[in-house]
Amino acid sequence: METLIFGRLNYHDIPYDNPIIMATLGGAIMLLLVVAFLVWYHGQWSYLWREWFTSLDHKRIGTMYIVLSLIMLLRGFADALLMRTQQALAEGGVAGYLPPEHYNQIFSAHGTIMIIFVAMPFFIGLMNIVVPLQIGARDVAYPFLNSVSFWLTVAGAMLVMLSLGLGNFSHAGWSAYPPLSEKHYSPGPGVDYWIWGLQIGGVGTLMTGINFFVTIWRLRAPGMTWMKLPIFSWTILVTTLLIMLAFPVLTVLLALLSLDRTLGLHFFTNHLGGNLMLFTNLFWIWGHPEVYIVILPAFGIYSEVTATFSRKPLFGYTSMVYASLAIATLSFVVWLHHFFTMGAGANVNAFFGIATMVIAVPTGVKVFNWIFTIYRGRLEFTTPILWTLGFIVTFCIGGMTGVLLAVPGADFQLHNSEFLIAHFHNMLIPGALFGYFAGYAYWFPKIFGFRLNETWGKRAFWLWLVGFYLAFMPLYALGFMGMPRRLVHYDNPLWQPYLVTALVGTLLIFAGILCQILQLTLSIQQRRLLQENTGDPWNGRTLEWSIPCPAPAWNFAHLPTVHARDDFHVTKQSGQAPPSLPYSAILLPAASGLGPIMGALAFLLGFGLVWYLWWMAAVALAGLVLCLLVRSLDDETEFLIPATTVEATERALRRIASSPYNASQVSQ
Amino acid sequence: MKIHHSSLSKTFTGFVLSLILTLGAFSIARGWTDLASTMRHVLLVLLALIQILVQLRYFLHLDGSPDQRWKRWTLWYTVLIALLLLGGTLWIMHNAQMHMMAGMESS
Ligand code: HEM
Ligand SMILES: [Cu+2]
Repeated sequence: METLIFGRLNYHDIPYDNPIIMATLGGAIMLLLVVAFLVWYHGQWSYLWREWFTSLDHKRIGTMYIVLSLIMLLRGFADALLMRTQQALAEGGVAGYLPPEHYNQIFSAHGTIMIIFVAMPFFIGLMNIVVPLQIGARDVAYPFLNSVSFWLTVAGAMLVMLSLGLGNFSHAGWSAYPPLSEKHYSPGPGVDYWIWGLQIGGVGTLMTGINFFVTIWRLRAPGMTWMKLPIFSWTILVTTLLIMLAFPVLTVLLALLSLDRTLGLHFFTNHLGGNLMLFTNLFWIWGHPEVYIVILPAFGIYSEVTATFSRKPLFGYTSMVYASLAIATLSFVVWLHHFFTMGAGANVNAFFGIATMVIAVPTGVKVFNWIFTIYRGRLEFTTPILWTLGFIVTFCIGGMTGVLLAVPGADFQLHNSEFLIAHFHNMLIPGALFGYFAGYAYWFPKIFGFRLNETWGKRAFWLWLVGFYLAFMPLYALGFMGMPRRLVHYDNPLWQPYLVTALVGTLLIFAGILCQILQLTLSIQQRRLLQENTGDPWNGRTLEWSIPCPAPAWNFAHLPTVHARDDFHVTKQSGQAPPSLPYSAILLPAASGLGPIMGALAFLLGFGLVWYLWWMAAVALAGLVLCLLVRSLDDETEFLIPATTVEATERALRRIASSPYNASQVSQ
Repeated sequence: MKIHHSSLSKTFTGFVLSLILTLGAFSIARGWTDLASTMRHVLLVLLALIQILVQLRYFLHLDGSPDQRWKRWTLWYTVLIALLLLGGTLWIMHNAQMHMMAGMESS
């Protein structure tokens, strides 16, 4: 009876005897309560619910995605700091302060969170904000689906966060290889938290992929042929293609592992016909495209930023497009490079090794295109361009170590060493995160109507850059010295200086993050000063800069017709004021509470499955079906904004009513 | 949005067909039929392929009409990637299997 109601949940699952966890948990809960109280005190709950949580406006959903990502970045970074401190201490007779079981959970949580709940929501947030604006659309193809996707991502993230205070998280690494991740070796709820957090978030991502693929394919402004599509939207199109092809593999993989764990089946066990190597194979069929999924959008951002601040059209636009497509296709034939050492023969390893090296070619094309765009441009050293320059240099180093790892013989030596850790952080931090930071600074005014403080943005950049080199270059050396990854303790005094250096680097990154927090708070305080009146703060080239800052709910009062690549730039050049057309009423998707409700139900579903609370899972699932039914039968999903409101808002936003674009900025 | 009657009945046909195909596969896997092992494998793969076609036809509404060029374009890309992944997986797993076996024989 008790298991029927409480599943395997027990009050012992709260780790009250672990002071580190309890202090973190207490702090987090206090913070949450304080924020909740402040919102309540200022009477803002209903505003948040009405205008944000239930909104189907892609710009609002995008902003919420980025907020989620930044919160999770703090969590993922806290994990990194814990690991770095532990490794700086735990040599020889010193055990450090983290027990092995806890350390294993930390690196598993760090990897999972950084990739699934930091990198993914960050670029999904940016694409939500930017893509419809760039292609001249009023919204995405499926606005309601968009909201559901977001809340599913939140549900997944919350499950992972909850594992901190209730039970434990997976100790099997972010890749959760069996047999360790099977029930026999990991009977607790940890791996189940990993499975269901990833599964629920992954379904949300898959639906977003479909949504934006259709959006770009079907909702482009009249005249925007494929070769006139802005390059960021191009990379997003390719990214969504990768999402649609790769994420179903993850969905099935997680489903099979959960069947093994909960129903006692034998897909990946090492007896009764199971094959654990198939797990590794399937994991990386998803896992390798996944790294391109997080990097390609950043490539798009770098391209936009480089063109804008070099005051030149992007060099080699067409080759950029084909390079993206080539990278996407090639990324499906290289997955074995993650397990050269698993036992396949030389022919197999040679094929996948060479295929991996081939990817360096289209990637190299991109690097040269950025450099040639800058060449003879009038480069303006704004924050976004600093992130870009830092990326180009650092990414080339990471790319070369990647080609090195693609040699199977070398990989046998470096596999699972700190060299690998250095390599993929070298790709993911400059390759993905720096790009998102650039995009964040670049498009911030489009959402909030004011720019970010440049001084603190630049300080953050330098701290991140120097911190990155100090934190990760020593790891390459440690890899050559034979240090394996995932070590809680080691007995080699020669390694310690390198690990202490890495800790110093991590502390510099910490200072960089603090600068970013300061930048945001300062910018909000100085928003009058940083206010953006023209709608076009950077003298941009693409359609999103043709509308006011902040962008109104309907994006475009008049849907644009496109005549050229970089259409807005060409219009500005021609010097013609845009014709003053009459305003008309606009139909927009109405807010819906079903998105957050479905997110909450998905969370309960996951929670029920983790703790074997079958009644809860069943109720939540039924609730989800019911929500879909309610939505399908709802006829009032849109509302009309009268022409007078559109006109008044547009006039107010374009504060300089007579000349929409600040004359001094059209000097190009 | 109003759903056309024809599309509703089409969805229903697809639903029934895919249900029959699934039950068929299940009964074969459960050994309710009296077939040789290879025959069962062949039948299972065949049923899976038909299942895919049914779903494309009835749920994704893919047919040969000319306004569907872009759908066909994406379909062929999907087929290409699926073949790469399937072929690659079979190759890798078979190759690894052979190597492990060889090790066991010599020891
Ligand atoms: C911000 C600074 C970061 C620091 C200081 C950092 C530090 C670390 C450390 C110390 C480890 C464990 C290495 C080992 O096993 O010896 C690790 C693992 C990992 N990190 Fe990071 N990291 C950072 C950012 C990121 C980002 C942005 C991502 C992804 C987008 C990421 C993804 C991973 C993954 C996937 C693992 C492997 C986890 C596992 O072993 O299962 N990290 N990181
Ligand atoms: Cu890879």
